[in-house]
Amino acid sequence: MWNYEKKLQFPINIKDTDARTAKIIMSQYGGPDGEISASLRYLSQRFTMPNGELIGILTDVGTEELAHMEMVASIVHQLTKGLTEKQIEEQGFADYYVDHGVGIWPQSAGGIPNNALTYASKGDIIADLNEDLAAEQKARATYDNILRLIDNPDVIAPIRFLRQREVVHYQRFGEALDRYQNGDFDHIKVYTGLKK
Amino acid sequence: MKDRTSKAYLMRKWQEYSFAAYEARLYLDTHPDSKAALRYFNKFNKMSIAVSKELQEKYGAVNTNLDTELESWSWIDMPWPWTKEA
Repeated sequence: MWNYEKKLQFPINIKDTDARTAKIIMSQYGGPDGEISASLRYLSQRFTMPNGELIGILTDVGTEELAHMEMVASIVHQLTKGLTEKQIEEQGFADYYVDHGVGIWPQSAGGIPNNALTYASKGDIIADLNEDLAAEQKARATYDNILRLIDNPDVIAPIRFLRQREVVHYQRFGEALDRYQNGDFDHIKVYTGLKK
Repeated sequence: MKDRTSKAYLMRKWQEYSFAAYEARLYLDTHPDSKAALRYFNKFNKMSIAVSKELQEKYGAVNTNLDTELESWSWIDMPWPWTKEA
């Protein structure tokens, strides 16, 4: 189970509202390479991992992604709380607002609802860990795209932090895959989840 | 932030120490034999717990798993984490 801590992993204090920026950043909440998909990918894949080390890295990274999901939602919330009707129209937020107000809902910047097809859980160690490496790079690339599109320093700081975390997770998943492929776990019978 | 007993200061320290511990935790998952990483984890984990207890005792509940006696059900007090700091 999980225990909630009443804090963000990295502080977020955004002074000015900005619906245009909010709409771009919400993609990292519910979009194809967003934090919800990241978390569900790792927390689902861990059940068929063969040993405590691989289960551990997926559990711990998957848990950190929950905290990132909260950070991205906090950014969107602070950017949209207190918008005026005029700002909602002028900053291109009317199409989101009509369905959700300024509530938090998992969609991509283009309006596509969060979809389980944005991640895989294959029940296969090599396939899943390679998927995870690609996922971290796709998320990193999305944060790079976001950093090209925004100019508010209050938003840039937490987005840079989130981008760095993708790089660290990629590193850890790479080490896990290397250790597995180099036979560091040869003493452990590979778990297929099937009965003979 | 100069006041080392202020809520904002303690919150920032908690974020720093618990992040340091979490980073070591991920590193240890793929380097389980690293004694240096384990020492680092133990150090920052202890600091994170200590500062979160201080925060909880002075300003209300932040983690219901901590070994503290709550004087009231302050867990539901505002602000929740996504509120802008004053």
